[in-house]
Amino acid sequence: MLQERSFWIAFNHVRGIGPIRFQKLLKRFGCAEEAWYAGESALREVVGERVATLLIESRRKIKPERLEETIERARLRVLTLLDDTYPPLLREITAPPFLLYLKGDFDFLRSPRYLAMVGTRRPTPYGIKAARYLAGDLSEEFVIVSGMALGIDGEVHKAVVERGGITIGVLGNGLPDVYPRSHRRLAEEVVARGGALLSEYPPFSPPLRENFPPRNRIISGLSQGVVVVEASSRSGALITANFALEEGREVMAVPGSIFSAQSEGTNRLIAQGAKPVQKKSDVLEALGMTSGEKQEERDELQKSLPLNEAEKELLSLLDEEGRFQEELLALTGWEERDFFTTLFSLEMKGLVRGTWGGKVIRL
Amino acid sequence: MLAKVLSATTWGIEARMVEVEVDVGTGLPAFQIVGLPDAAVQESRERVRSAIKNSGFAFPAQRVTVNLAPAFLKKSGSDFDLAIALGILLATGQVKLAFSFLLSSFVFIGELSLSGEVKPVHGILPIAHFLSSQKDPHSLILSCGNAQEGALVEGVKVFAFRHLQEIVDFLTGKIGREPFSVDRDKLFTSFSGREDLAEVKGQRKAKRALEIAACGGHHLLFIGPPGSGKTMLAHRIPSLLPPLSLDEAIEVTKIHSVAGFLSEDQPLITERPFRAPHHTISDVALVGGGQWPRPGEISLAHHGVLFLDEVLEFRRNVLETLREPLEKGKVTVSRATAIVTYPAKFILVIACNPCPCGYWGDPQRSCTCSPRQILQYRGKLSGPLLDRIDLQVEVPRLEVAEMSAEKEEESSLEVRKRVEQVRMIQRERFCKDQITLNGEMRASHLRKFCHLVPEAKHLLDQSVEKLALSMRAYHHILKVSRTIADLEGEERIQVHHVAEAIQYRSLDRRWE
Repeated sequence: MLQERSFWIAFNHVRGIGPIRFQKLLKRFGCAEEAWYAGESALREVVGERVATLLIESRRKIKPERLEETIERARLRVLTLLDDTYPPLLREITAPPFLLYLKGDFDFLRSPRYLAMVGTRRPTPYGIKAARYLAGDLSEEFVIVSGMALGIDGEVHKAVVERGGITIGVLGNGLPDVYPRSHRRLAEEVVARGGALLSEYPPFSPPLRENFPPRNRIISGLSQGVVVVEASSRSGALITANFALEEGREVMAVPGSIFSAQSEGTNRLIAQGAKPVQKKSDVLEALGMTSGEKQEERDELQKSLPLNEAEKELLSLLDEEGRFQEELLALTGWEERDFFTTLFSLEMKGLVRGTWGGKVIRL
Repeated sequence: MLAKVLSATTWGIEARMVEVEVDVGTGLPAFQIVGLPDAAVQESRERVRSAIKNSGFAFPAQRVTVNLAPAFLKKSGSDFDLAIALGILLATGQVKLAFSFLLSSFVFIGELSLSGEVKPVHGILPIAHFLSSQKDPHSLILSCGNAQEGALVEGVKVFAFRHLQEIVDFLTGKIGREPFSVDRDKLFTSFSGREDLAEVKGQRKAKRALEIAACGGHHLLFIGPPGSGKTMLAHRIPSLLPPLSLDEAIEVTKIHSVAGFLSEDQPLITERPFRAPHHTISDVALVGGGQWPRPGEISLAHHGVLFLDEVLEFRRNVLETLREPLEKGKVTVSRATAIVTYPAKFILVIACNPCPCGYWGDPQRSCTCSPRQILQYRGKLSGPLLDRIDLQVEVPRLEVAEMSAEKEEESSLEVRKRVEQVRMIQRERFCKDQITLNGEMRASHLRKFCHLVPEAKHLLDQSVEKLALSMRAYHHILKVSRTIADLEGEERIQVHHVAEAIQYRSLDRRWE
């Protein structure tokens, strides 16, 4: 007994059927199953002669009942527009992919904050440094979405993984393959750390040139905002930025040297009104957010560790800006003995840390 | 004719007897001094000649030979003027003593002016101290300016005079003179008010560290931006230390006497010294030396505090010289002319900025240093000197509001009471060992005296791992926690003692 879902997957395997034509078919025939078995003339009416011919050809080769097996063997999951677990932000764009393949345990409903970070495949050392610095910091607040490509994308994923953050790679080929090959190990890391790989292309599809612009629309569609780290004037990262603009997502860019070709695109974005990004708080500000989520996480962390009243009080006085021990002594008004004991136990629990210069910061 | 007069000279902070032999005989008029005299002693020929003439006597137109015995001992300074002059007067028969044996019971020390006036010289206290230790103490005859200093030592009679003529009259029995006496207790208790700890607002951690340092004799490092009060804090350590005992005071005074830093109105140093040499100081000036080895700043700080502000500005070789004295509590200076040992037991306080520009972590000004510069700077701070520092304290620059806060601050006197208490505990603990303070403990002492309760031991081991502390830090933490435990009168070191001690090891953390 075949389910509607299997026909959705089948349509996904037909070249020429994108979200728009698929929506038309659904509208005309009511469901995917009906559309799959529809007559040639009816199909021609809906999708035009060329695609109808393709569809009829594919229909002969594709067996809907076999497709799900392949998917299972590749350990992939399928998210369709029918599923509740479909990424909510992506659902809002004009032509959301009607089907996504997902690798990893990630659940899009778990985190409310997504940020895309993209850039050129041929970064300068400055671009790499900026990507790593910003991605690391921003991963404290966001799930970071990028394209697994060489260059900036890769650096972004790496930095997030190193910081223990969660990141999602959107690919332009069919899972479970990963292109470029040199990023296979990284892709495994991304999945192992609780992130995911995502693609709208059928399993094992090759990375076709025309796949990439639509892939970019998923990257921007998944996210509240896009940070372009480094992009020349003709970089694909600018396509992602354009999609973001069309969908009303915030576009941000990392300013660069006026003499660097790899910064032409980003600098122009800024000239056109994109928010320049120098540090984490710039992004939060542009998106109208505070680093509140982390606060919640922290509260979680705090609840998990048994803290006494004194420790809680001391901890409540600290943030990542930090305070001098001197200030803390004054603020708490405690005896040195109690103060140092409390501070020490917080330090041992890994909640605070002393820094050079004498400040105590919260981790 | 031959005459023999006794004098003495200092040797480091010890003293030696010197016999001044004068022979006046026939020959062409000449005046020779032998017995390894230096230039200053040679010059005394001219002073003695004029002094004798201007005191109503005649300088012999004969061959005068002066020998300063023992001849192998190098002699310097103007201390022998008086003895030489008297020797000449006796040898020429211008002065005849009623009882010649009288002469051998006196030691003569003083410089002569051309008019025959007797002038004070340096280093009287060590000489008086030396004489008092002899079986049959000699009496001292010296200048009025040296009288108080000489009379400080018990068991030595001191006769003070203004003029050569007076001394001759005294020796021939024309005038009588009572031995000079000084009220030592009065001198000793004249404790002038020092800077008080209560004048420093806030800075509780730094003050606490001062207290611990004063209790256990721990060396201390302050890290803080300019204007945070590092110097002000360091200046107040002497006020936290127990007053010098009379023996200590005499020991300190001896050093200052040899160095020539005593004044007539301050013959006894009763307050703990605080020495703060400028960072341009040479190694010789710091540890002592010179052709005739003089005590350096570290010896002048004996029983007190040596403060090195901007410690990274000091030349490296200068700081290196501190290693031996910090280890041994004394310094041996070897020169061609002499090998001398000076005591040098002090609390070392060093201060520096947190970064090259100084404003790292300052709430008002931003630091202009690159991370690399700061890293290099920290690297400079490590090394052998830092190895001996038990307490490392950051001194932040406080907001004006905090400083003006009207809060009752503890006075030095209150803290000192606790310090004295803790020092007593330590005296009892170390009565069988060669040390007196927790800060001086070696590895063997640590094993013997630093017993931790099991939880504290566990915690310390854990923290070394978790906070990435070096093993070097481990020993420092033990020492400091010993003192903190002593402050609470605890025999065994508890968890919170260790917890506090770890907070004074900021430089041992491996920073990212």
